[in-house]
Parts: sequence; structure tokens; C-alpha cells
Amino acid sequence: MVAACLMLLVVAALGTMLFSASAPSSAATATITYDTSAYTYDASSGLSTQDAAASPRGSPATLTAASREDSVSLGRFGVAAKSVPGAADDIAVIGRQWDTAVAKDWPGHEVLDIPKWSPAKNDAWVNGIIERQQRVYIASPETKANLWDAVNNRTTVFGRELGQLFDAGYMRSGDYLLPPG
Amino acid sequence: MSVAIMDSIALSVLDPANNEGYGSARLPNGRDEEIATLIRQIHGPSEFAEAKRALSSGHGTVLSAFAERMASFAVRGTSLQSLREGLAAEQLALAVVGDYRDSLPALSLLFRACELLGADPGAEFASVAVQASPPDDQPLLDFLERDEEDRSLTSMGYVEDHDEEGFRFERTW
Repeated sequence: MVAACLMLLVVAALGTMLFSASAPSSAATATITYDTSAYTYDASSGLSTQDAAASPRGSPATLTAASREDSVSLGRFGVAAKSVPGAADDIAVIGRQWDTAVAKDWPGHEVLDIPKWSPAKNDAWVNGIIERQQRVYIASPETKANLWDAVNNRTTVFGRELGQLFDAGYMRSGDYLLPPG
Repeated sequence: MSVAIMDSIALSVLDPANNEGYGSARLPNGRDEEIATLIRQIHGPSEFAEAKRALSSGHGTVLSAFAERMASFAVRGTSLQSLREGLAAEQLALAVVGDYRDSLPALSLLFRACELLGADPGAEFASVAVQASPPDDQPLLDFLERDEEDRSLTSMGYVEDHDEEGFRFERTW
């Protein structure tokens, strides 16, 4: 019971740290939920340990048929995201790399998959999603281990992606994030 | 090898649950030497493969944190040995981490550390790459193919800074 309460506090604190400090008023009512099954707090040792990796989310049910590569130019750190379809409402996919990799072949979904990846290019890609008001599919469970690098005391790339989108006013709808307005 | 490189003690040293906050801790500390001792046991592809089999993604996160720290420590102490141990740790980290994006930026620090030490990054990266078999040697070799901007500290989210002890690379996010 004590361990469970402590774990909830840790997860709640993480959520506050990541998403609340600079979130716009439009996102203030967003409900942030976390999957906690892949993270165990041991009260006797005072240590937290990762369980086996949580299962990735599967392919979303609503797919649209499409067949073209879609390159997106994003300024100084321009990147070409891999996208199978071509509709204006392409869905961007974020998450841990091993989870988003399976989405590369999903019609209507855009995954950043470039050989010379960098954080700057990742930021530019997410900013492009925000500018285009794309919907976003969250491919990985939002566990603490997926969002926070406790060894280095910093967010993971996936955690940073989520933070950018929430800061821009994106709102959760199931496993999706929807643009403001 | 008569003794397993990554025995239970080694796995404990690299357990992320035993290393919370290690990346930003005072440099150097005792953990650095413990990890360096493990890394020094890897001399070629067979030891690399043995270590890789024993490690999980979480261990890789700790190895990558060590690599970042050694990049700073190498510059601070003008130590090519620390630089090479950092490179070897990062190569192993990239072979086991689940999401390479959280580890790969450390290569920019190691590359820059080479430059600051007056060493040849191409030679240093290549000399460590041969400790692994393909495709595990590829991340280091691929990094050398990047243009200046793609491998820069700026694009990887770091700056050159100092703490109370001396030179240190710092993450900007």
C-alpha cells in the first residue's frame, strides 16, 4: 500500500514537471494519465526498477489507404519524414523508437525515420507537426521509464516530444493527441 | 574468457536502479572507475558479443551516461584513455539500448572531445569500432560520415561549459 502510494506520487510529480509548468491555459484541463505497470518502486530499498518493457500499442483501427512518400521540409534542420499516404490529415506517430518503427508501413501515418537523426531534427519535425496541426498517435505507453531518464535526470526523446505537443495546446483523445482549436 | 565479463557484480554496477542521477553527479566518482574497469575487459568482438548478450537496454543507458562523463573528463584531464573508454562504452550502449535516440548524442561529445584534445576523431572512432563486429561497429563509423552541422554539439543539444571542478559538457534540455 505504501509502495503503491509512493509510486503514484512519483508518477504524479513527473507529470507535473513535464507538462504543467509551461502548458498553455487551453491545455490546463487536459487529463494526463500514465501506465504504471512497467515501473516498480521498492519501498524497502528506496529504489525504483524497470520491469520488462511494456507492450507497445498496436496499429490504430482507423487507417486510410494511401501510397506516396511525403517529404517535409523543416528549415535549418530540414528532415524528410517517412509517410505512406498523402492526405493533409496525415497522422504523426511518436513514441519510443522500437514502437514507432512498426508504424512506418501504416498507411496515413508519418514516422521520423532518417539516417542522420539528431535532437534538433526531432524538434523541427515535431514543430512541423504543430504548425500543420496534424493529429498525433502515441505509439508507446506513457510509463515513467519511457518518459524520464532517471540515470541522467532528464526527459527521454519521447518525453520531450510529448512536452512539445502539450505545450502547444494539444489535447489527449484516447491514444491520440489532437491539435488545439 | 575464463571469467564472465558481465557477472552479477558487473550487472549490479550497470543497473539503472543503482545509478539514478549518475549522469549529472560530481565528476569523477567511484562509479566511473567501476564502469571503466568493466570496459577495459573488452578487447575485441568476442568479448563485445559476450557483454552484449548479458546486457539490457537499462544497462545501456548507464553506459551512455558514462560515455558522456568520460568525454568531459577526457578534456578536463587531457586523457585519451578516458576518451577511448567512453567511446567503447558508447559503442556497447548503442548495441543494447532500446531507443538509440537517447544515447546517440553522446557521440557528438566524444567527437568534440577528440578535437579539443588534438586527436584525430576518425582514427579514434575507427580504433574502437574494430572491437565490435558488424553491424555493431556501424554507429561509430556512420557518425564519422556526418557533416559538421549534423554532428555538432548544437544539433545534439549540448554546450561546452564548466562546473566547479573544471570543463564539462552540459545538456541544453
